[in-house]
Amino acid sequence: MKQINYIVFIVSVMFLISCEYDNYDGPSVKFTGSLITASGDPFFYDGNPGRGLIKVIQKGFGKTDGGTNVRVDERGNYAQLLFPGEYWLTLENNPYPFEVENINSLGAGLGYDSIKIDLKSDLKMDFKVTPYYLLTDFTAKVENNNIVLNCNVTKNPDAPATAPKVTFGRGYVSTTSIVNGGTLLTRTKRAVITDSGSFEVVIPIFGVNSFREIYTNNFKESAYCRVSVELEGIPSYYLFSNITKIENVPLTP
Amino acid sequence: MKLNNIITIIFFSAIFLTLVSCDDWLTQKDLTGMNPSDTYSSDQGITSIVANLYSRLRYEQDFALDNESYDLTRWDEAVNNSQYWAFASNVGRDYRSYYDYGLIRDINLHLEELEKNAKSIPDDKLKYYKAEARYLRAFVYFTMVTRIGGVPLITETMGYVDDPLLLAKKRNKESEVYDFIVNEIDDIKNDLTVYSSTITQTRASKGSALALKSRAMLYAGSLAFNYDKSAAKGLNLPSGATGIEKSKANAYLEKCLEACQELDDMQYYALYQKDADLSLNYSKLFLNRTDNREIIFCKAYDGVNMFNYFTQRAIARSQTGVAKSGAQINPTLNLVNSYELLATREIKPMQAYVGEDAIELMTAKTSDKNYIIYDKPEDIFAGRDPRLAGTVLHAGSTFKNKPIDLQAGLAILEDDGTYTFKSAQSIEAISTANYEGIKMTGEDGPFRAGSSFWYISHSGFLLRKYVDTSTGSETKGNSSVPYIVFRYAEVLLNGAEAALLLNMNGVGSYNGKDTKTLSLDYINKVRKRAGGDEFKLNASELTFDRIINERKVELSFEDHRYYDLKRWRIADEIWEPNRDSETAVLYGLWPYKIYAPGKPVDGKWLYRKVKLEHRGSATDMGMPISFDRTMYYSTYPMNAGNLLVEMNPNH
Repeated sequence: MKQINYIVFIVSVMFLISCEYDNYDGPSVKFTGSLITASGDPFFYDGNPGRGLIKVIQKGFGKTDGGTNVRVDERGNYAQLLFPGEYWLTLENNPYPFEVENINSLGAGLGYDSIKIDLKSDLKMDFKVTPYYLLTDFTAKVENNNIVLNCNVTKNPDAPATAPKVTFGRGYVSTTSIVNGGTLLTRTKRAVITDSGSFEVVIPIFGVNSFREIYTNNFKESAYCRVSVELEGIPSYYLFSNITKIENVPLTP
Repeated sequence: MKLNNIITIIFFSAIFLTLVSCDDWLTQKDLTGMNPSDTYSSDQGITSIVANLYSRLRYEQDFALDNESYDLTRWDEAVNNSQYWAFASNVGRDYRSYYDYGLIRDINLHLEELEKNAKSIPDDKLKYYKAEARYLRAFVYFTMVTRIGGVPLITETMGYVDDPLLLAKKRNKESEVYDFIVNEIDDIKNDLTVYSSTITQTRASKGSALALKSRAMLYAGSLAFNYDKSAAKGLNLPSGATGIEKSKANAYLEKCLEACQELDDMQYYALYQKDADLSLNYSKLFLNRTDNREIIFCKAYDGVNMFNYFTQRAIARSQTGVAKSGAQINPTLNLVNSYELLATREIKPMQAYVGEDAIELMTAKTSDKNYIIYDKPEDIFAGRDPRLAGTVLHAGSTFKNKPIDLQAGLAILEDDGTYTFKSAQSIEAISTANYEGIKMTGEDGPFRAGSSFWYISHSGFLLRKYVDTSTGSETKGNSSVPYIVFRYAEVLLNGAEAALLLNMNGVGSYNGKDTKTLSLDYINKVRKRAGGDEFKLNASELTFDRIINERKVELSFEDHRYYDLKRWRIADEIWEPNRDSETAVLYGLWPYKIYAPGKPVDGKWLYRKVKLEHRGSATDMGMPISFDRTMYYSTYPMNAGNLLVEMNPNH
């Protein structure tokens, strides 16, 4: 009987001391901030989780992964929980239709400069972004069973003279306020930009690739819209407008 | 004798015994395996080692490996219609990342053993074995360089060292890997003339080495030719691990032509030309390798020991032999539209509508579109390149002497001139579902209704190419159709492209022959076999777009298109994930029989161009194909600690 007491005692001691090194705390440091334009306004970004922009990397033996991608939302805000430590902040290796202050390209296909950040406590960091083009006078309306989106495109006077030319405009309509090419609730269509620098995208409400086709029994009477422009030689990453809501989308043709 | 003395004697004898007795009991002969000197003393031994090396060559779409044909249906040639179709969906930068230094080491080891232990093998055979191993090694390096760019060239085995980082190697330049391949082939090609009387198709031969050279040099040449395009897309690393300088283009392209010429000089290989029916001739070319001089190198199946499941997966629903299989590979309208008109050699899409082309939803039950009415279902495909009927089964085709029953449903003509479409409501009801006594949906589809709609055509087309016609081949992997790696027509098209690129690069003549004429000669050999003399191109028609289209059509389903679009640096444009894209969104063509009693159109046919839904993911059907700039070079493995490894561009 004494032996059993002894064993019970040892086992309970083991329970108390054993698991200390097996568990560790989750990431706790908040790394947040926004993309802003020269005038301090928010810079509207894609928001599609597949279109990463910022990433942070830790270096060391065995750290061969691609780092942590930080998702930037439609309004240019980001927030990421990280472990405390030293990180290198850089941009994902893609061409972009804008420049980020202090983070320069190392050449086509070769990636970008990195900034060392020592993350001990919460950090807020804003990035000044210079888009090559500005989207102005964005309007959305319902017209003859279509959702019609209009926008003007002008070259940003602050952008470098070598900025590539605009090739296409795109329109997006969604049933929710999250509007980007990465969600299933968004329908998108491409349009050619006229010489005068404006474009119009007409997205049908009924039929193939239409608003009502987003899902079966889509009886929403409001839609969220935005537009983007694509630049020559810069695939997948576009310049975006703000998101606006339109009402009274017809339910039947 | 004193006790002490006895103990001393026993003690010393015991020590003596330990010194002499146990000489080699630890080094016993391994009875479970053969040692190198035994193995390398006979042809059988060497062949069994080489058989293992051949079996490890990587073919993503071979007939045993490509599970359910997911890979074959991943790009724009076909969509998958097994119940696991979503596995044939879009992929990312890791796709086809291939880094097989295990195989390279085994080949190097094989070469070293041949050197050391094959003393009893006659010289000429030994030469062949060594050349064969080097051919295999060149082939593996080619497979790697086409996927992940420049890789370290390792030509001998490495031994154990305390610090593994001493073995770390830098990536060779992409061009150096191609140079290695061509130098190896030039070195060994004459040793590969096989000692037996017939030229083998399943082992290394001079022909297969030259075919590899022509393909590798064309790839290298077109990468160099497209250097500027690569630069604009960020695909050239400054170290040269990816991207080949423009100045090297002509030398590579000339080497491609050199290989094509040398293959012709062998006077052995020829295009398969046995049937007067050109469609039948084209389809038979792929079915049998005996007495088929077009096949240069292939992986053979006998259907007994080496199973080939391709026919089982691809055969029409009405002829399937195994439950839950068949009709899994559905060619797309995107491919079918690429077959030229035979008489005018024009590339023209199928004409389903009067006026502008429309795109319809499979689920739409009514339509006010203005359709072109055809008397018979096959009429829409009339007058096309005979390879269309040799590659694809469409409404009105027959296979194994049985008609293929492709009919999406009945199109009921309403009084106001619009159509209402009726089709079976579930797959079980297809054989009985009728409207006013007329059967609605064909046994082979195209069909999409109810909760189960797999193993039946989805696009309105079925595959004929590579589908075995022999009895019983549709069951249990019992097909013996070979998987072709190199065939003569490809070499001809390689030559045509190389000559045209030289011409575009300002090189007017090669070996005293005008490069444009040379290109025409090569492409027209293939086209003449495909469609007769009238199908030959003339000089003004020969543009690079024709080369693109010819390769798409002639080499369809042979795993060329993915690599071709990559090396032309247009894959991200053709397969840009855009829902308006005509090339990245996949379409089908659904045949309907018209029901309009008493009216002239009754019993005639119309076609609807539909967006294919089995593409993408279960939650987003009809998604366009996606290929981005990170996918030109697949992920290069980042081995922990090796600081010499360089990431691929855009990664």
